[in-house]
Amino acid sequence: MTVEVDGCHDDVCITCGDIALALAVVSVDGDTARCRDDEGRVETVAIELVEPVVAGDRVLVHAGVALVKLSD
Amino acid sequence: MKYVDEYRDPELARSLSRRIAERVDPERHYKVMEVCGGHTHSIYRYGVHDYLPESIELVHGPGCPVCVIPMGRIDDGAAIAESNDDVILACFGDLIRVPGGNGSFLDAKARGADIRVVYSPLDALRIARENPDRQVVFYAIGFETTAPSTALTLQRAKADGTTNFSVFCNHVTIIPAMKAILDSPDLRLDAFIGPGHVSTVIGCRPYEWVPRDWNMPVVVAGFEPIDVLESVAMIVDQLADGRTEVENQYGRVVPWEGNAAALRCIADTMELRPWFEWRGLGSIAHSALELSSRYEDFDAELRYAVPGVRVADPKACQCGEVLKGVLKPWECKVFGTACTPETPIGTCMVSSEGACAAYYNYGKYARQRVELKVKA
Repeated sequence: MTVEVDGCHDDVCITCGDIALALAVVSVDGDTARCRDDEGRVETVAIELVEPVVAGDRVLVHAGVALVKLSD
Repeated sequence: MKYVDEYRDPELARSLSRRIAERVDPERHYKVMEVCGGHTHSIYRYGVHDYLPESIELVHGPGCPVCVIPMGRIDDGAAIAESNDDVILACFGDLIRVPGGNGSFLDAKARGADIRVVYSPLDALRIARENPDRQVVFYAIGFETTAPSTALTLQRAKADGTTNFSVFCNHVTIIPAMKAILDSPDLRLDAFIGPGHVSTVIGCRPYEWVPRDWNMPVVVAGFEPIDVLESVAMIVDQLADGRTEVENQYGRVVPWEGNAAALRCIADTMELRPWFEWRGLGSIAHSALELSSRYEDFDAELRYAVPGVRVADPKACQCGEVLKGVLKPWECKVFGTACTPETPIGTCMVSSEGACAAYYNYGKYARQRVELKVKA
């Protein structure tokens, strides 16, 4: 059962499982980016591990960190 | 929805179902283990079993990080929070209800400990910066998907000289667990569905020993129902063709070589433990991570005294057999009676990715199951 916390999307707790989410990069500020999911929710994401990233890219995010830059 | 709708298409599901049915050997029974709890969740949520012939048995693996944490490690975390008045223990949401020998983190919080749920270890670091007179301990847990976030947080903490932040590290690695499963005499498998998001970090090469040493296919798969069905089809194709190899069904996300920057980040901050105890699987050599000597100042296990006691699972609980795929969730003696998501006895019923919770919510009990629009 998922404890409701900020950042839990859908009914799967993404915080500690193997689940990550695809988000769209809205803006980049140094090592962090503002990213939006398909339902418009926005979160701050660390992007050091997938740089370079620009607005419009899609990234796979887990626990606040982008793990992959997705290609279209 | 991009990357989602096309992977929940019922027509495609029917097509894959037919492809699988045409290629299975009618005389053969196939045991396919999905390593990752995310796959288990998806299989029950979307009723993937309904699209598979009876000869294909999906076996649930140990890939739910909450499920494999031993009870003693929960007690260790609670002890740090309860024995040190200045400590804020930060943990992920799924973890807070996992029972230890002395109750859960939620119980410790009720007893007065300052335990907070965070979405990311970076949030725990932010709490440390906002509370310079307190010590923040992040209870790190998860496979290689999550380890980069802890590693990156440690690098940021070291870079800015944060001294009131530390990590209680329980990160585990998936390959030794797969080896332990294959070495177990209790279970004979025919193939693995490989973990999708773990593989974004480690890539696909680390699975190559499976076909080489065990003559068994591994297909790294995504988490939508079409992903799972297609991965089963790829496995059946391999076996029908007499091939065994590592294939990547999730190529839209998983690079074959993984994420080198993430692996470097982990290697900088963590190193393999000689041994780590897994719930259900016992102690497995080189299967977990601890902080590297370069980051020992951030190691909560060095900073605080912990009980370090091994706590046996409750006798009624059969999570160990479920985690090894030997028992199905409903075959556990307490499943759905004494052990439910509201009153979990075992870890597999706590996490939404645990096999028992997934089956309870979407399987026989079918409280929330999501159907594809047209059934096969």
